[in-house]
Amino acid sequence: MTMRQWAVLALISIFVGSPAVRGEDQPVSGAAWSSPETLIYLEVEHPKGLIDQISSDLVQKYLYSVPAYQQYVKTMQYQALHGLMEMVTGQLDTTWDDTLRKLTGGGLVLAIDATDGKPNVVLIATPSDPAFAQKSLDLLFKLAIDDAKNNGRPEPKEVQYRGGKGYVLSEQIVVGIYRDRLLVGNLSRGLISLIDRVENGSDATLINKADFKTRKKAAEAQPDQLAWGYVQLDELRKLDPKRFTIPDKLDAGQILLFGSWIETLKQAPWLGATLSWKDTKLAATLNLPTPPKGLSDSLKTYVPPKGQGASANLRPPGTIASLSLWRDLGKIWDVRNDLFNTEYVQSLSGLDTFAGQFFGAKDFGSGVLAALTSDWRLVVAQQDYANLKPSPDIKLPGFAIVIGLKEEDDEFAQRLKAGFQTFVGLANLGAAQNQYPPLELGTEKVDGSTIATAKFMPNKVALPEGTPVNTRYNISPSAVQVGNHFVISSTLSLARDLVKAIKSPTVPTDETLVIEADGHELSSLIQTNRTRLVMQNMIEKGNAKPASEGEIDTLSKLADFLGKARLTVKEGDSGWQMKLDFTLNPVK
Amino acid sequence: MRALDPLQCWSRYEPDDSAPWNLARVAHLHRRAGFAAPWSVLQRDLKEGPDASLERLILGESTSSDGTTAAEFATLHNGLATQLGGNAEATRLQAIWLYRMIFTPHPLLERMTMFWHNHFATSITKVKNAVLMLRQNALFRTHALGDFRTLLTEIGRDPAMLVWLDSTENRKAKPNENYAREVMELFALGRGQYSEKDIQEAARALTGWFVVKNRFNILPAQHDDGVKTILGHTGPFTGDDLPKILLEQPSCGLFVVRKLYKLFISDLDEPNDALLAPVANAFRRANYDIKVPVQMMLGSRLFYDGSTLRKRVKSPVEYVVGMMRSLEVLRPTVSTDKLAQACEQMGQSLYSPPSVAGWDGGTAWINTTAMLARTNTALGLIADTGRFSPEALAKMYQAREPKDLARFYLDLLVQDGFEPKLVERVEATALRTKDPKEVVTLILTAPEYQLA
Repeated sequence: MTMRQWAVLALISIFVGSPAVRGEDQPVSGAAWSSPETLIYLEVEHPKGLIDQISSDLVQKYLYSVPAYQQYVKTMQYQALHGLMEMVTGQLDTTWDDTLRKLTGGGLVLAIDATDGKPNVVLIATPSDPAFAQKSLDLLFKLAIDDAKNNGRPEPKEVQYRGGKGYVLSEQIVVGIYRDRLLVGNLSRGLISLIDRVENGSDATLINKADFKTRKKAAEAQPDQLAWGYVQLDELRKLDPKRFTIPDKLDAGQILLFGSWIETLKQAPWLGATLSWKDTKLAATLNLPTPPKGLSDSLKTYVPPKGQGASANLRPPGTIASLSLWRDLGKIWDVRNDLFNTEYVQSLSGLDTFAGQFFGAKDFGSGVLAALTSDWRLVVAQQDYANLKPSPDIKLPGFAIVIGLKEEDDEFAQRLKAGFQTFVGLANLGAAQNQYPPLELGTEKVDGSTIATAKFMPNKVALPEGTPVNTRYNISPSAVQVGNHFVISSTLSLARDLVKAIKSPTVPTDETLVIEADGHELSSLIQTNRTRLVMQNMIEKGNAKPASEGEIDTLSKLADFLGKARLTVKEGDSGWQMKLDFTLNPVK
Repeated sequence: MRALDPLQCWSRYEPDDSAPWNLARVAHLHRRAGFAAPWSVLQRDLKEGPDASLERLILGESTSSDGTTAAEFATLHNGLATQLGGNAEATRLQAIWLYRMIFTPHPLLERMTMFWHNHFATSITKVKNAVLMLRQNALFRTHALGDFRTLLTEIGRDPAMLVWLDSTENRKAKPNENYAREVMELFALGRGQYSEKDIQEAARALTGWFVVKNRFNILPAQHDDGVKTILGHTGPFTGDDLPKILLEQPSCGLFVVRKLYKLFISDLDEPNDALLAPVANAFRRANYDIKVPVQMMLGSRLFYDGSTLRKRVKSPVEYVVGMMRSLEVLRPTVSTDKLAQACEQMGQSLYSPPSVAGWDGGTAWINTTAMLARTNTALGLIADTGRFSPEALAKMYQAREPKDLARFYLDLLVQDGFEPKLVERVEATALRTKDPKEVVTLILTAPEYQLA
């Protein structure tokens, strides 16, 4: 690619890099110019906010802490691009940051349709300084002409159409200015259609579609919203069924866990998304409406009653991740014939054998699942690695599942405890066959609850220095009943912490699923295993040690930077919403 | 040269008009004593002559290919093996070793470690314990260029070897003859140098040697402390006496030297005892110091004779490691996990030799499947632009024009190993396509490149 082409690309990237629209004195939305057949619509109402965030100390410090980025800014390619950007902005008598702000200050819109089967991409930027935009475009055109001359290609063409002036730079790039907006498209006819729509005063525009209007209103009401988008799923499915239709044959596990969500995604006519960012708070939401015909009765078993969704997450000390899910598996089991194919339903009967082995010949549905509530929680937390004896080479966090038990079924908790002992017995049989150390059973009382636990017997004789210590020494399987909850944990320390955490009353939320993750704790876990991870990276990627250290430290920094993350899924009468929030951490 | 007397063959190589110290001979030395060298090393050694080059190979370079000092490199890689290898699968163990070979500052040491791995061939498929295999590998590395007497003694007590040859529970009442047989037949003497009775008596000497919790243990109650007669020696021998008896046999030095000949000189023809005798004698006189025959062979007239050049088939490991080192695919190199899989497809899985006799080697490395795997590995590397740019490497050494670039890669990879017609083809390809990748592909996939 020649220097001139780089310059052209650099300027185009301003447009393509963001979406579009409305100056303060120009109340017309980019959606008012967009085709009603628009499949994908993306709008950045205030690009300044996005530019501010990206150029903030928080993000820049993180970027410059990444070795790959540090390397990239040293490359010839970056230096050449940077030099050209400097040259271009120098000719415009401004800075790069100022150029971006002036060209996009009034907003950006990206709209994609495919009226004749070919993607038609249009970007509409509303410059805060139209004269500057014209000057930039003239420079762009000049650079494109020079580039074409130097490389023996046909020169770009200037075209005028119904008050708009544009340039066909190549077969894939058309730019123009129309009513003080910068337009960029991949097809000339795409921009011509847009101008015709506006000039003819057509009502057939995206903004007049009811669904779109509702989404726009909802997105605009979102605090600190930076960007939002709208996708016509039903049109996409018609356009390319192979790519955009979820296949009917799905894995039974996926149906079991996400049945109603998959159905919603299969049938929802549209999808809405927003992105908001203020200081350290970054959030994204995804909305899907309930399928037009609603959910089937069997799939309704996945939706919690209003206000009685997933329980509040458990957060014992050192929590890396915590999940809370509302799932009434007893009811799902009852409707399994409607949900799964015959083959899978038959294979589910194997669970009766499992239940017989661990729960005293109980039937899996009526004996096991019916005894459980819809409260399912998982916790992953750091261990006190310093106190692990022997200290395993790889330090793994503790994992625990917390199950809700129905109050009326006292016997079931006893069955679970017996099941735990059976599991330890079977594990010891396997250990004896494979010459592994056995698990030694024990109990411990914490806050009135008795934890049944087991730990691997250490070697009697100390192993010579440098002898690898097996990962199994991370594990001390434990089980405990706390009120009407039953905890199965991979470690005794996590079981202890959960006994205390569960003592607090359980508060139901409105959500079906809540996942929380703590980047700082994850980063700390990465650092704990750094030596090992660096070595693994060397072998797996062929890096020298410093490069591997750089990659692992970047991963650790990224985890720390992302701070606390929270993903929620909420289902209601009108639809389904997924929300992802981050509270970013400053880079140290 | 074959017609010359053995003393002449093993006399010190002095460059002359008939055998000049040129790029072909520098590259030959590195291919045989290492894994092929990068351009800067070839040029340096061309300038400094055969003696300095050989000495550096024997002692090792001061820094490794990743820039660390030799001492730092050893610490890092020993740690890497312990940390990652402890509970690892065979492929991961292979990957750890391949990684070491690619970056090592002492390629001859790794070649010799591999030589002993093939000589005392032990497979993880039966041992099923990565820690034991790693310990054995460390043992080979420690004595690779050291004392064969110690190595032979230590290998008899090595838990991986004892597991491999069923000697983990060698009881007085039921002596296991496997190790006794193999140490005579494959490790020290060779066929025809011992009798069945010698094996039975040696097995009695080895009773009481156990492996307990992955460690070598002697249980006196299980040792047969009666008198044994082994290879003409009589006494109440223990397992520790066996190496001494074996090393006293005249055939012992000759047996090891014959194997070294296959490694360094030729694995295609069978040398006669008379040819090997001077080296074997020197080996014995030096009290089995392994460096002596190695240095003698690598510095000999026979080694640099035209008849010796390119008379060995590269093993898969030599092929892939040599490719990485000579083409400087180091920052980063390829995933050695994947390289280990590639070697397996070519027929060589480190830590898993096919039998106690090791790999057949020689022409057995070349068959349709193996050649396809070699070609695919070379093509995979050439396509991996993030790791290797033929253009950038050539530019680094001032080869910018197509013809210069073709010459550069011919000199780096095959020197005078191509027929003039093939050289012309490479040059024509460079001029026609102006694509350095085409040039490198043509050379790496040529039959001549498969020879060491």
